Amino acid sequence: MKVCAEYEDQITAFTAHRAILDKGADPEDIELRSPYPLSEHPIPPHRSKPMIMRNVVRLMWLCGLLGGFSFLTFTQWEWGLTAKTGGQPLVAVPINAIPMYECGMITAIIVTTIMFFVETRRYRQLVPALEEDMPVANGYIALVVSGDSAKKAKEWLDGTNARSVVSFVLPLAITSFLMTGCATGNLRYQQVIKPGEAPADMPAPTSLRMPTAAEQEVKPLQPLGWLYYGDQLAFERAEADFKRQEAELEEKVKNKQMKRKDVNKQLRKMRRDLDEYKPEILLYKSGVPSEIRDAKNPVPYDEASKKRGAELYALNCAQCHGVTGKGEGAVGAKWGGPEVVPHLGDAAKYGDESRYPDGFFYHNIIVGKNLMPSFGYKLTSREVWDIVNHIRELQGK
Amino acid sequence: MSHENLNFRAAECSIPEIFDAVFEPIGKSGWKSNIVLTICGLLILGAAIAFSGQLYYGIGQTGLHIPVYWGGYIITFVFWIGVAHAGALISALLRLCGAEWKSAVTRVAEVITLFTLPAAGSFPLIHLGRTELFYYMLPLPNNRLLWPNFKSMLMWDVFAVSTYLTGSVLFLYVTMVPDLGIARPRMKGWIKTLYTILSWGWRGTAEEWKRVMEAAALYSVIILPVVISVHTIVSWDFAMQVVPGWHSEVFGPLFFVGALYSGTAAVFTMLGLLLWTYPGFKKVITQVHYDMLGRVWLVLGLAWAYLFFNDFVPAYYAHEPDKMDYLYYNGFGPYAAACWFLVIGNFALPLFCLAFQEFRRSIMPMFVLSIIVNIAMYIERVFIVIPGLEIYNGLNFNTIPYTYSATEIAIIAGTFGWSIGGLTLFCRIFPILPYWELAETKARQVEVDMAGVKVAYFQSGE
Ligand code: HEC
Repeated sequence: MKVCAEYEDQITAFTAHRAILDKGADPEDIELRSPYPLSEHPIPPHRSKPMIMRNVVRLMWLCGLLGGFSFLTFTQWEWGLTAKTGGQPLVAVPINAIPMYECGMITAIIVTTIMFFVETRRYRQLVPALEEDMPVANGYIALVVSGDSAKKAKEWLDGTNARSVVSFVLPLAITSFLMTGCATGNLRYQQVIKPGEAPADMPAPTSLRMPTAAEQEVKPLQPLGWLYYGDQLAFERAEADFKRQEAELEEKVKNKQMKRKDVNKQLRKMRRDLDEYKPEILLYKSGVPSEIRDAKNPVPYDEASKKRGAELYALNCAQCHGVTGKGEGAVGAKWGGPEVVPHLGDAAKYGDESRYPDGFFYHNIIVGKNLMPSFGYKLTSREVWDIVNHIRELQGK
Repeated sequence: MSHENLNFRAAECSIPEIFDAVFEPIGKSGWKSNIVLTICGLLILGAAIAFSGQLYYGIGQTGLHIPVYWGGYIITFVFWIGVAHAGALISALLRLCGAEWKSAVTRVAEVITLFTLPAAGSFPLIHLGRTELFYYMLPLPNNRLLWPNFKSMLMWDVFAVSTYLTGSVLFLYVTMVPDLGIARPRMKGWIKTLYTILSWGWRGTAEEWKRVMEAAALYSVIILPVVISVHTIVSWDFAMQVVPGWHSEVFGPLFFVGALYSGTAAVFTMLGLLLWTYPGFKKVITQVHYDMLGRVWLVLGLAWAYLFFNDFVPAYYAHEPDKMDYLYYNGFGPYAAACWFLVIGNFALPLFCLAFQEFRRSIMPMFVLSIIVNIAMYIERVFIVIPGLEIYNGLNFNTIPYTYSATEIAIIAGTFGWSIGGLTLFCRIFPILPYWELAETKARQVEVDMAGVKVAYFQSGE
């Protein structure tokens, strides 16, 4: 059995609480329940177990930091790519401070939540009785007495300015346990090449970087204006199609097979479709601008430049134009060999410097041409000139 | 709500009346919110279609191209992250400071975080292009011995945003447990079941209250540094790159304060909408709340204005070439109109208006101002991302200017739908005002007669 008295404000509730304690109620049996934190905490000393939440959170925060740090550091040495760096970590250790910090914080947050539920759990039933909850839901403070003290509580509480005092029988607490299982066994392990066992002929690491001072000295020729945006070939094909169909339709009008109005409507639609194909800026349609074509190569034709050029050529061009510049690269071969991908090493054609000056190559590399992509966004000017020097070398200059 | 009484008081109604006001909207639907929900649903649907289009056809569906490789997605990401900072500031900072008047606005702010943060977090994933590979960012052991690149700022974003999201969801939930437990017996139907499950048998004994306060204090202490780290890390996405207009040391504090500024604006927008939809809330959200929060907003605005000018005044003084190009491009280039709207909408107008108490106390003008400020803040993010890239001349060519494509617009609109629709739905299911905090303020208020004037003060809590 339980007795539940309802109070409008804190002061009367505290007074009643003290009053029934004086009358000999067992402090263990009394519970004050309120819709907001009370300004005093009338918790009997043996029940107010010290809160350990704060200390646990502190400790776990530290564990989170250290755990995060050790995990991140571990990944640095276990990284497959460290084979390329000769066993050096890929990320400078101080950088780990940032993810490590977040590790500590997220641990603290989760531990706070867990501690909150764990610590309040012992004051709970899974579903409290509605009679007990109603006064609190109505905005009042409830003094709930249970156990042995409950038998006399009703008369003790009658004179304490309570709004109402009710007694009721405790319903069965419903408890359920959820069984959870962990699916294990879907982790497979494969034999891999460990760092350190990497083949010796692995190429040296390269990555995107800032241009060095020497590189910055070779300035771009001029801001090249707008990117050639769109597919010129596709547009030309579509344009030819359009002309053919237009002629056919005109023919039909002439033979009185179709009405002028319908044909015009159809033509309008077709013209709109064609516009979709139109490359947005056709600045370079007319070829290489003469200022670039006639520019002198500012990078001297020396061993150092040719060597740099060879490396860059191998990285950027060889897959299409081939190592020897015959258009025999893997991609180039797939596209149809020298017929599609020009034979850059051809001394007879491209070696003719009056027809194909250095500026011609410079321009083509930077802006690209039809199927060939543009390299303006990833090569610095000096690198482009280095490649030009290497092409000259291929041509046997 | 009297004009003469300028010192803060708790709601001018009894605790049971506060309950009625707070829980009035639960489980009810009205035409206003139905319309909002329908529109939001359509927006989300549109975004889903646009996104599947982007997944199928590739990232070329957007207007992005080199060198403008960051565009609408990242801008909106920064914008939503900013709005999401409201939760941290208002509920954590004010809670730690023990400001009594915070009680009416804490949960509004936290719920704004709850919905805008996932909206923000989705953008880097959408921006990935191959979104299905997002799990590459998690540090999972794999058989190729590859780990995420911990050197990358976007990687730090993943850590920071997920920490903040976890933190704010749990913070919101734990401080809502008492409300759900208290209201449970008076709810009906499935909402009662939901509250019963979510409240974990809350009983409201002193021991439990002590722990809920302790947990709230702990969350506040933990969340504040996290929130600072989140927006600082987002600012590093830019500041760590060598792009004019991005590479600025003041970006950390600038982003953080800007985020608080726009977050507070979002809270005012939300409060305005709430007071319009549920007139019953006028009993608990008073003009004094508007006034107090308005002051905080004003201070944040001033701080942000200072940092904003601090970003380019040194550059202007030194005539740093790159940055000067950037400034002229902003102020007198193709974006001039937007740039000057930013200056007016973010500094001139709000800082002038907010200086007046009458303005801060009026609901409608504050609502309009909050929307203007958030539009201006969005534009500010555009300025941070786009012009710097467009005029970036370290490369051999420039390219055509960036514009939002239809796909981008649809997806961005979808996140607005998600946030607004989510907030609307939340108001129908959960209490958007923290009942127990309002009741606590009310119970702690003591009024005394001082020479004929009633003065309210608050008994200190713990
Ligand atoms: C993806 C394959 C591919 C790559 C990589 C590539 N090219 Fe090309 N390149 C082509 C194709 C195809 C053409 C022919 C375009 C046309 O005329 O339609 C071409 C044309 C050229 C031309 C113009 C020849 C002419 O007569 O107009 C030059 C010069 C050239 N490439 C140099 C280079 C250099 C230097 C590199 C490396 C930086 C490079 N290419 C990388 C495919 C490639």
